[in-house]
Amino acid sequence: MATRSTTSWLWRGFERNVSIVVVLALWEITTRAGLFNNFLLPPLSDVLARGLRDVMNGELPRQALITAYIAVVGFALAAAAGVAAGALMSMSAVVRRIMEPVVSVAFPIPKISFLPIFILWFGLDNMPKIMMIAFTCIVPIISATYLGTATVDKYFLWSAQNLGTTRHTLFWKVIVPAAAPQIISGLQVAFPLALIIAVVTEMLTGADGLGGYMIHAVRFAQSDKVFAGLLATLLLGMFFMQAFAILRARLLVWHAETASAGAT
Amino acid sequence: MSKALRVPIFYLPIFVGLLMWELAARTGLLDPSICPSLGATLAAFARLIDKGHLLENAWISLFRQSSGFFLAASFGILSGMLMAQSRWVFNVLEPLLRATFPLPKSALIPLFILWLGIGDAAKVAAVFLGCLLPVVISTYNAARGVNKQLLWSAWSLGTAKWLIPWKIVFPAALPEIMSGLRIALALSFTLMVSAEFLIGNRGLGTLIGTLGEDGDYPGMFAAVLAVTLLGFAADRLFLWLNNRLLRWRD
Repeated sequence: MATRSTTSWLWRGFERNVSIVVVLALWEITTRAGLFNNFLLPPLSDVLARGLRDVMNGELPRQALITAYIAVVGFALAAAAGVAAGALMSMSAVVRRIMEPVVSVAFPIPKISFLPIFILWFGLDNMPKIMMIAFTCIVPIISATYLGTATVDKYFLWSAQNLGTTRHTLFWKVIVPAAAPQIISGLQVAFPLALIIAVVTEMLTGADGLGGYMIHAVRFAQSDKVFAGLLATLLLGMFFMQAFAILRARLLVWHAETASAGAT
Repeated sequence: MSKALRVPIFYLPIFVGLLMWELAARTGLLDPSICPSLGATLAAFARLIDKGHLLENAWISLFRQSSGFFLAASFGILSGMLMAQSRWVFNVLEPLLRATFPLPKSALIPLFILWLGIGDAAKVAAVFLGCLLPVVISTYNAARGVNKQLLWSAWSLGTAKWLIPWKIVFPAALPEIMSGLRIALALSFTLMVSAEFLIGNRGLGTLIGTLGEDGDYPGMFAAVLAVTLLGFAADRLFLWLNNRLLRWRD
């Protein structure tokens, strides 16, 4: 029985990834066969060789760390300020009255268009990039936190108040944990935006990070480097998505969501 | 409260904010060399419209954004529906979605410069691919989540099998599809501006960049204001359409 379940597990793993393997194989075979201009689409093996070389000489890890650094710092600022603002909105009618129209206007506008203004104000260093990331990420975090904290089950609140819980304890011990799944979902929606904006701002200021690496490659017509940068950016995105999933399971270990996920 | 008054009253804090901007600029709290007043920005807005640049560039940008968005919406809804209906399509597409989902889509812009040059095609491609995945994923989830009782009722009432996806599944999934489209719409403007910043060949993003390089900061603020207004107007138009399309629900 053990071997049978192993083969079926292997088969499932294959079935789940077969189209990725096919695409990668087609990429290598068609480019080697000369079906595409190798400048526009270099063979996968050349891209991997290029990537490996830039990993070995330290360039790609360095650029990936820079991108990760500005994305994480900008995101952390947005998370701290956004969760606070969202919670305040659900607790105070005045704050809600002021913030609601601001959030509803800020949600759809393309915030990246403010980048030249941020560069004018904060210079060309990391500062405008970090502020841009924070500005973009804060909106979904505020609205998720507000919705999460404003819709906490009334019975939780009544029970806690009945037992004599103070306002402060009520907030930290009841409202925040009850809203945690929605707050974390808001953070999970916001983080991909942090990476999108990090890469764009790096391309525009054209210095460091994976965005800078790729835009330099285009300017110097090194197409294998463009693809190597794309793969590195994809890996960075995968790393953060995985990290968020693990963090979510850890933070919500007490929640029904995690228990049911563990059971299947 | 009358309906005509409700909207301006809701947005009152925004107007107060704008007023504070103007006052801060007038009293010298803001350095006019790096932060022009609201008045100067509006004057520059009028000047840019008068000279024709603003409207012309806005049309170019809107064309790129809406082509990319509508391509993404039609391909995305179609493939999401097919994934939900056919196991085979799901097995082919799901691994590819899973593998490309974590990529921040703005990273594709250099690739499109390489492949498509600096014309409209590169920008439309950036908007298209950037918006595609949210549409596919929300459509697939919505179509999978359709209440099974609706399908059973349709079967038992003798609805033809090939009609069910379009007559039953699609309308039932529409609310969730629309919320995926709304996220894609906001993303489409972000990618349009990003691509135009990077591939300087007309459009509002390019206009913002060149005005900034010329040191015409009121003009730059006015162009940013134009992009902001476009994104906002598109979203409100979308919400209006959404409410009309989903009016049968309640």
